[in-house]
Amino acid sequence: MIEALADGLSQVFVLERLIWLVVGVAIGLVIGVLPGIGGTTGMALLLPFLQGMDLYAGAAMLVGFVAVGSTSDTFPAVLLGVPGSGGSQATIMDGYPLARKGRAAETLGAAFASSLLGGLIGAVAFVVLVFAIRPIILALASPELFMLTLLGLSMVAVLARRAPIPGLIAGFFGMLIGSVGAAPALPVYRFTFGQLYFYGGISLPLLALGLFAIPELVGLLAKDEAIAQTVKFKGGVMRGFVQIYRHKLLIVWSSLLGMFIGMLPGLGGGAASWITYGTAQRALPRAEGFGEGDIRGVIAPESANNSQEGGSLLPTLLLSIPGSPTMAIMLGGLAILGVRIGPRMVQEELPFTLSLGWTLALANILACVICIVLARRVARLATIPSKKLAPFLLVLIILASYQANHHWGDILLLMGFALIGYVMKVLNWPRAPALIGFALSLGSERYLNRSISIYGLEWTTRPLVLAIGAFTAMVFLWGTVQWIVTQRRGDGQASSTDDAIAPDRSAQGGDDR
Amino acid sequence: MSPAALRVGTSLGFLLLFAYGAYAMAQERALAGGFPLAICLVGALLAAISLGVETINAVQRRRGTLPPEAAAEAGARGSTQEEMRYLGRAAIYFGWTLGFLALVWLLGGLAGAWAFLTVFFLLETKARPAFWIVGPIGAVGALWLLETALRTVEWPEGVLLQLL
Repeated sequence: MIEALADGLSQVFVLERLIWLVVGVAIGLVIGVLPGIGGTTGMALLLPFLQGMDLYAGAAMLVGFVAVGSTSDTFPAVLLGVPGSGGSQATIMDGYPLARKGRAAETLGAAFASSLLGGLIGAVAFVVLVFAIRPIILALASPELFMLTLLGLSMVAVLARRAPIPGLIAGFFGMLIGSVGAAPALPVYRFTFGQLYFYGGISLPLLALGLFAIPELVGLLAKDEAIAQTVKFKGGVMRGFVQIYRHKLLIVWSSLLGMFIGMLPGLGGGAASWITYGTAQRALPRAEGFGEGDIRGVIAPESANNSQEGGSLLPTLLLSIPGSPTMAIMLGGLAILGVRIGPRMVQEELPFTLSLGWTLALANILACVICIVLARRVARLATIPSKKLAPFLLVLIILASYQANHHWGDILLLMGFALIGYVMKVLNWPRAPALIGFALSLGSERYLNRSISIYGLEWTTRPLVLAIGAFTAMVFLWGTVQWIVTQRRGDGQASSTDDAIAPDRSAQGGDDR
Repeated sequence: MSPAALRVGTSLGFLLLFAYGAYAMAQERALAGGFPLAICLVGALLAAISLGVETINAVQRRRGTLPPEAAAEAGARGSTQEEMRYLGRAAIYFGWTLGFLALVWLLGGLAGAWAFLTVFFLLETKARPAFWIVGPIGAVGALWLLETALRTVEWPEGVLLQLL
């Protein structure tokens, strides 16, 4: 155990890898500060450039990006009252009122420090849990792993907003796109329309950039509003650090809760911060000031949304079940780097898995230091008008998509997905399940084929398979019935059209769902 | 197209997609087509449910017989005109994106990016000269650096360059 930990640590402290970690942190920082871009878009932008990179360096860049997004998205949340991503929505409740009272820097300081501690607790818990659940992971065979992928998809689709049927449709759409190209068991090519281009399958960055990045940018441009003209930055950042000592128990509790929520597919940063905010509001004494500028209302969600990254890495790496679109892209990125995700991650790849825990911890420290040192400069990024920023990103996205196969088919496919993504955005259909379905498709088909070839049809009668199957069916039925009932009452109608007339909410709130 | 029609159309589009997928995979051997067939059948079922519910809602909306809660929600959301204005603006930016693709096809990745950014900042952003001159050059410089630094990065070549 100690040897594996030391091995993982030694893999992180290599100059080239540290440089790529800083690159990931820097990109994540900028993307997190810019409201409306979102972590999914930023992460998808990184993927095309991973080709040919060193495994540890590429992974360091991805983890660096993931870790810092939940720290830097605090800038727009506190200073402008606009969430940089879904994970910072709850921070606005008290962060923005505090900033308006002239305590912006102190609030940011407290937020950065709680993010740092949350991130570190998440990283430590990740490493501890890797060892703790290792025997369980190794006991799972292909049938159980197949059922877990179905459960993961159902949970993501059903829990994603109030539109489980559209969520499930999106998930199955992603799986369908993922099954284009060579079948894993036979030399048969599916859905190729006779085009050589489709023989290698469709690349994840194309789907991610098409469904998320272009619709978000077009939405940002169509909204045509300056987010803020100026940012008021008063007080001292370091004063916020003192608050951390006073609320240490709140940080530990919120971080552990956030870590647990991160492990559940379909919830993610937004849910982690709202749940911890709500819990803190109910459990803490003298909570009347929550919502009007209580520093504890910033500390709780900020600890949780950083620690949940450690939690969400667990099902992603060990079971190939990404709990969020960012994790689905992470899964795709690691596949590009040549990592075979799944139970192997606690066997042959254990040092690599542990190195991700170390990288996560290091990235959180780095993010906190950069945010504190460059706070005033970074905050200014949030005021860039969308019409000056979006064209640069549009150019980068389209040219990045070309890196998938260096073929014009990449760009045409990107535009096709962008159109579908935009329609889904306008109708407020969840797009995240499509990415997750895509990431799950190949693994689940492989598990299914292996189950049939080893156990025949008897795999369906294994006790754990039946238990997971029953639970999946319950999730599926509950979501379906709930959606039909809300649609008939009219609530779901509203939920599925919110963005049609209020697109700014999703644009500003990031695209993580 | 109204949002209600868009919802019905989207459900129908997914239904047709899954139905086609199921039809195509039914003709493959079970080991190659079984899994996608199952995906398509479940997807088609879900899309059919969605289509049914959305159609009923659209018909009720048209007849003015939506349940009171839904009607109130619809009123609170704002006018269809507002929705259409937003969709219209989005269509303009999709048009800009297509314009960029045309420039890349014609001039290649770097020159296309420079031309697009210059024209966009000049006509759409109405930026100051310093911005529309320096911004695109800086962006193209960064793209060139990226291509030089990472061996796997390659920008599309334009047809004009190929002709020369």
